[in-house]
Amino acid sequence: MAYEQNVLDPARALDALGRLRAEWLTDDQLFSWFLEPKYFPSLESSRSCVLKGGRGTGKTTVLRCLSYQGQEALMKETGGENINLWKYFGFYYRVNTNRVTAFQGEEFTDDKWAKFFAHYLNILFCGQLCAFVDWFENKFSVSLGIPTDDYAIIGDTLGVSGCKSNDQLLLELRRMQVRFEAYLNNLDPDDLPFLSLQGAPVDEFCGAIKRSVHMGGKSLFLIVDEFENLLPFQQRVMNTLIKQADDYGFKIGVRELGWRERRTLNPTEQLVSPADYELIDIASQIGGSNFKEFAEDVCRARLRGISGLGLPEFAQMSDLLQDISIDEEAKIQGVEANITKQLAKSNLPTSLVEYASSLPPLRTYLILEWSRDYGLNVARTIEEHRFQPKSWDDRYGNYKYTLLFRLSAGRSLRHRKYYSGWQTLARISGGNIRYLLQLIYECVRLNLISENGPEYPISYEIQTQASVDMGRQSLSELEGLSVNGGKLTRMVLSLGRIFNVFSDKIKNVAPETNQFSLPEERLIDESANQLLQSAVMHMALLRSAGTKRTDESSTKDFDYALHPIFAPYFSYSHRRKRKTTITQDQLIGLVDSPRDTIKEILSAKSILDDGDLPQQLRLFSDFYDK
Amino acid sequence: MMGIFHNSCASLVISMTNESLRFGYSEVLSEETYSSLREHSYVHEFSAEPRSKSLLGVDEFASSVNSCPVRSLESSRLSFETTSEEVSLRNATALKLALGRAAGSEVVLDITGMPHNTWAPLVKVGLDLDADLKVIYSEPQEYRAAEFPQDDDIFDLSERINGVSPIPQFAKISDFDERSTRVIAMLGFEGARFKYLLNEIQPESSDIFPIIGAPGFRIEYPFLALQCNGAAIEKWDIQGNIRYAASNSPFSAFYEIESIVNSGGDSHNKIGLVGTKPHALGAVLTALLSSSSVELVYDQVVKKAGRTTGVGTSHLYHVGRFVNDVNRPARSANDAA
Repeated sequence: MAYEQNVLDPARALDALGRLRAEWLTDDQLFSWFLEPKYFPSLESSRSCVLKGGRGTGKTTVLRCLSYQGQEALMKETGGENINLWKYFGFYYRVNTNRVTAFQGEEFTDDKWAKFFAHYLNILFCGQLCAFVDWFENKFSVSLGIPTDDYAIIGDTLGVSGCKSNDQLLLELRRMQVRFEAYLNNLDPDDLPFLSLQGAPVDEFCGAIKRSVHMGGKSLFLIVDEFENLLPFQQRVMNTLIKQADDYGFKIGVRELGWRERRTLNPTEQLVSPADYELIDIASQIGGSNFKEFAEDVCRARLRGISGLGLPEFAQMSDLLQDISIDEEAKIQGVEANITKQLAKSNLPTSLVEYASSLPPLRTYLILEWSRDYGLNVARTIEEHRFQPKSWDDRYGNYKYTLLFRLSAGRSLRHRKYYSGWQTLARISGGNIRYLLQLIYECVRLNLISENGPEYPISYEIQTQASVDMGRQSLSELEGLSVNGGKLTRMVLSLGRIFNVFSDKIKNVAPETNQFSLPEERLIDESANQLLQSAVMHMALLRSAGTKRTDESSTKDFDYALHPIFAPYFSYSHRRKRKTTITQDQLIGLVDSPRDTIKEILSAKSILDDGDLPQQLRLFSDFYDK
Repeated sequence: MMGIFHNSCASLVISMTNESLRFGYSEVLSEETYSSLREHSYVHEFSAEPRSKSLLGVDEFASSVNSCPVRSLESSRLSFETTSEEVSLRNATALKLALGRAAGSEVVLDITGMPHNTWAPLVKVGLDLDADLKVIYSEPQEYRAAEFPQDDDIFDLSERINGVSPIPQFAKISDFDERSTRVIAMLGFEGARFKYLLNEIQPESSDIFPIIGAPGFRIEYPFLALQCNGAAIEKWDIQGNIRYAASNSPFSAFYEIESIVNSGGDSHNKIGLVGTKPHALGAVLTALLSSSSVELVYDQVVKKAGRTTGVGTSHLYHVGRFVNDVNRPARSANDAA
């Protein structure tokens, strides 16, 4: 590498990396590091949008940058004081579970609670609009010129009279909040408070703002993040607002499967795209090569922003991360010694030994292992290869990666399999920028504290250790992600072990079997459906469309894989390849009685789980009964 | 883990010192103290845990008090067995009247067998009813060990989490600048619950303050609590923020929470209840008494049957006297802006 662009100061760098391990950035970090994703211009349009993406895909970052506070921070260097440069103003709101769940209970029907919730939203959104008016007038030193009559009308819609100014309205809103809160804590169904009409105050207020001379051509958005935290009837309230909004739009952030209710409060009316909103699916927008490109920009910018790393000059991330090919890895794992030993013990004629030795070592290894597993005569198998090499080409292509797991089977190695290189790490992160960043940070951190001091490119051993650590950390965090966290953890532990056992098998299991589907013939009951939905929402599982896709909520028509972030930890292929079938009962059994169910699934393929656990899984030896 | 513990020893010593200065609010229940409860209504609930039933098995205690059993029902409702009255826990006025009818004006509330959703609103209205409200809590002898113990999962205490929702009468919907939120987490043995709480709240790491119960019910418990929550503490790099308060003292917890709240200026404070019940009581008292912005966050955990065995020490807390001495008016059911 040519020269250091960044002085090495391990203590400082480690301190910075430590602070970055937490998932949520400070405002300064978030705005200063923001890199506009490809789909950002779509979000900036005046249309309502739904931004769908899992945890760690950058959804919240993007939505917060869409807010006026975010835009102010982003435009600091480029003339944010010029009002003409502003095309829109967004008001960010993250759905707070501890707030919205106050609006439920047997005291009222859902229809009644919907009215309470709508009133709450009116207070909330109007409070944001008051704060915006204040901010706008201070920042640009102009008055929006909202007439006192308009404030009076807004107040009337909220059930308060005599509002003449922004300050007065804000004070009334705070008083309303406190009174409303007092009512919720002394809930008397026979003594209802005043409830404002859904959307009316927000409509009036946004209309008044839009009529200002300073707002000509500019859009207003209400940004609602973590939409999945709303109860179903609350989603219907919000859907109604989205459908009916006139002077403003909505930008909704939601996880996959988190938008459970598409109807409005009118049971016959649904929100549909593109008529009512534009759907932006982050996974589709930044999938495949788009993700690598985006991730390359993000990772480079982040690393360059950390002082003390002592990074060499680098053009791209692959310059920093050592990559090894399958053949190179096989060599490291001792394939040559292995085949030499096997050929020596086989009593083969010299000509066959010479021929076998002339082939790429991994290919010879496949021939020998295939013979052994299928009980074939080794000499005949080698002969078959000699005379029909092409018939082995597909087989070799399919099993090559599997052989790397097989080489290390039964040996006490630090790493059974290596996971390294920019392409591999990007794949392991499964299109999730947060995972990828954390993976990169962990590689850099381990490199900094390595015995011989930091070396670039970062070695494959360090990258593998970082990948294993990330898998462990992700498994540990799964528990805390949802109410089903414990179940998801057990499911991942069970599936991870099954795919780990499959990983080095040649017989009875297709190579790189690391996905599953449920049989179409069976009806999926509610408990299995909920488990799968929760697993997808919290990224324990990724799903892809199966052969016959019906609708998003149908679990019969998808193929499921553990998130690839777990692959290094459980030691199986991170590449999405082949699938097996798991029944609904087995899926539940993997959670409720994992030992027996793992045995049952393996036995169905005539496989015994009699191998040792990988080192990193020995912590769970009780779980696996090993 | 020892490093984490060692760094916070000063806080621990101060906490224990403060506890010794606050004598008179807590006492161990014994024959000597039973007489002070003569003619009090003993409001209690039996649960699957033996310790919830233990006091009524003591003749001297049972003969001193008037038994007033309650039963928590679905949908935040409570049944008073003596008056056959059912009432919503979310209706403070109705609950206070029902409590008054069932228990009169001298109340000792045993929270041992009650879920948080029941005892917290009872404490709130009980303070209105009886300025000298007393609360009892009995420690368990042992907690049930996990079938597959891991670093952060040593005991098997909970069936599941139902998800965050407000404790009746403690809903908070007034909105604040979420970016200036502090989290104060009363920690127990369930690291998963702490992680879940942080995932729900999404705070900035510098604003997370774990409170560990120390001294614990047993000498090793503070170390186990640190171990069970170590992953989250390390990930968020909040070793330096750890505080300690005696596990069995709501008043130690109150003062520890108060010192964190007071150091935060105008910040909004979210207090996570994942620790002991006395600590939760301290958090409830903070919510009732603090002039700062405080919100209780509870994951509505469903406790596992058989999670504890035996009975340890029973404590009597003079909650009413404490509230009066703090000299701030408790927020009553009729408070409004």
